[in-house]
Amino acid sequence: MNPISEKKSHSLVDFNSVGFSYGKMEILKDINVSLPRGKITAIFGGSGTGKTTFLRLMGGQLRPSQGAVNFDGIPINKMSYRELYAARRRMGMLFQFGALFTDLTVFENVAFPLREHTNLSAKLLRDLVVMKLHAVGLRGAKNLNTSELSGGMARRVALARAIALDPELIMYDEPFTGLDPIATAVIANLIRKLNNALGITSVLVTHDVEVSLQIVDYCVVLASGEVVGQGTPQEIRQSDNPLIKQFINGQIDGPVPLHYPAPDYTRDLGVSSEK
Amino acid sequence: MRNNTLFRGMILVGKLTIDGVWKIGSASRFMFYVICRSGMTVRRPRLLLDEIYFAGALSLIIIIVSGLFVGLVLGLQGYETLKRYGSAEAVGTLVALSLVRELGPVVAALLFASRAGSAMTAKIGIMKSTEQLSAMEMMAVDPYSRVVTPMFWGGFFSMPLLAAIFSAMGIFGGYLITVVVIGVDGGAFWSQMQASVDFQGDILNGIYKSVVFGFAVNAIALFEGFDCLPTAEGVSRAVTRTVVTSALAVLALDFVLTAFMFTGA
Repeated sequence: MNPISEKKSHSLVDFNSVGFSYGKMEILKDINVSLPRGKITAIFGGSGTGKTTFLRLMGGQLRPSQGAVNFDGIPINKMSYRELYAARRRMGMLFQFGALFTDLTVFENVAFPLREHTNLSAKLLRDLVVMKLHAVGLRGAKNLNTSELSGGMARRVALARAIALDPELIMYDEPFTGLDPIATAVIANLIRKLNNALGITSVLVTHDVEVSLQIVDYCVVLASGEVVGQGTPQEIRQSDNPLIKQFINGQIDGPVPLHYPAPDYTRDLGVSSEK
Repeated sequence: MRNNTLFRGMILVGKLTIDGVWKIGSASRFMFYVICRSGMTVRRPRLLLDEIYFAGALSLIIIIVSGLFVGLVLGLQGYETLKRYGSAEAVGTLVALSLVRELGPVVAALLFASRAGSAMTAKIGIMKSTEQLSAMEMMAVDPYSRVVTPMFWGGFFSMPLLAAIFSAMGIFGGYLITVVVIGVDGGAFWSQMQASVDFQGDILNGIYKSVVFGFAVNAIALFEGFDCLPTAEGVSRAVTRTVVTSALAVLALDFVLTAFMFTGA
């Protein structure tokens, strides 16, 4: 075993008492989460629970209002511009709708990070891009324009682009949203395979519980900006916590109310006898 | 009730003032970043050339055609007025001075804002709303250095060239209508123009103007794109703001610059 890897901590990213607010609106409060190296972690939570904020804090696109987010032991919010960009070279991110560059072809999209950060010869660059596209099953689509891709294909191209620089950490923002069952299964399978083959640490932010529970190693459940539970998929399934139960089973009403806070219904309709 | 309206009015004025100051602050910070991160544009001239093509070469048609028509109209109107005083040959001077000093830089900047400026705003705005800029950031590529700065310098260098082409085409239009069509003496047309247009006082000042307009229009277009709300409506509003703000800025700056350059001379 090499001595350097022995020194590495068990987790690649640590959230230490992290809080985040937009003005007066508190999005995340007192988050303590560690993302184990080489594993897939799912961050579950309904819409508006701060999941995307969670990823943006990891990528240094937002800075926490309290606490610190550590990437490989170094607080991201204390990094200089250069250090942050150096850290980002070790990360890859798959955006919700791919965020492909619409003026470039599939090939050029995947080649983009390689062209920006390396001086590879044209031949080597081409081979690398073809290999990355092959990994996501889209070698044959390399000359297509992004407008010719389906939603699932666009996300796979974006995934090929995210792994172009062989990152240590990949963040997936809602990777299954808006995909048909086949495309969902393809993406889920790819996430698992890439993780196994490349030993990447993966973070999956999603509300697609069933698919995710089948592929992830560790889960964190967020509700109203707080961590309400974390553990292995098995532990999450067996949890007694009513919030987690409601979320996992998709119950309409429970601790998370169906209705947004509102004044009394009868009074709102003007049929209340009270004045 | 009246107090309430007054109070609301005061709040509105206060809010608009604070928003305005805030926007000027963010725009200045934005331009500071753009200029500080120009290194990549110098290291990779290809990026700059692409943007000069996008902002400059693709604007050529509208600039050439508009320049020609403005020259034709100036020639026609100038001839009609000047012939009453028996100095129809001075039409060359009139056309050249109007174009080089005022119409060239100003109209070219207005056309540039509507053709290239609006396109820049839309491009940056859509890249922002589809998370392409965020994706770039997460790939450890700074969107300022990679996208915004080359666009800025591309537009900045194109603007004076476009203004010069506009003026040249205008003068050609003036020549066409007065000398070729109406029959004013060609020698007098050119020699009077040569005698009265001063390189330092007229041409150079016109170029200075177009440089200032180029800076303003490009800065406005890029800032509006970068600052827009990441929605379809946000982008469309930003494009409108680019055209309106640029037009106002160009006309206001033109007044200020003219006041400094051409008065008392």
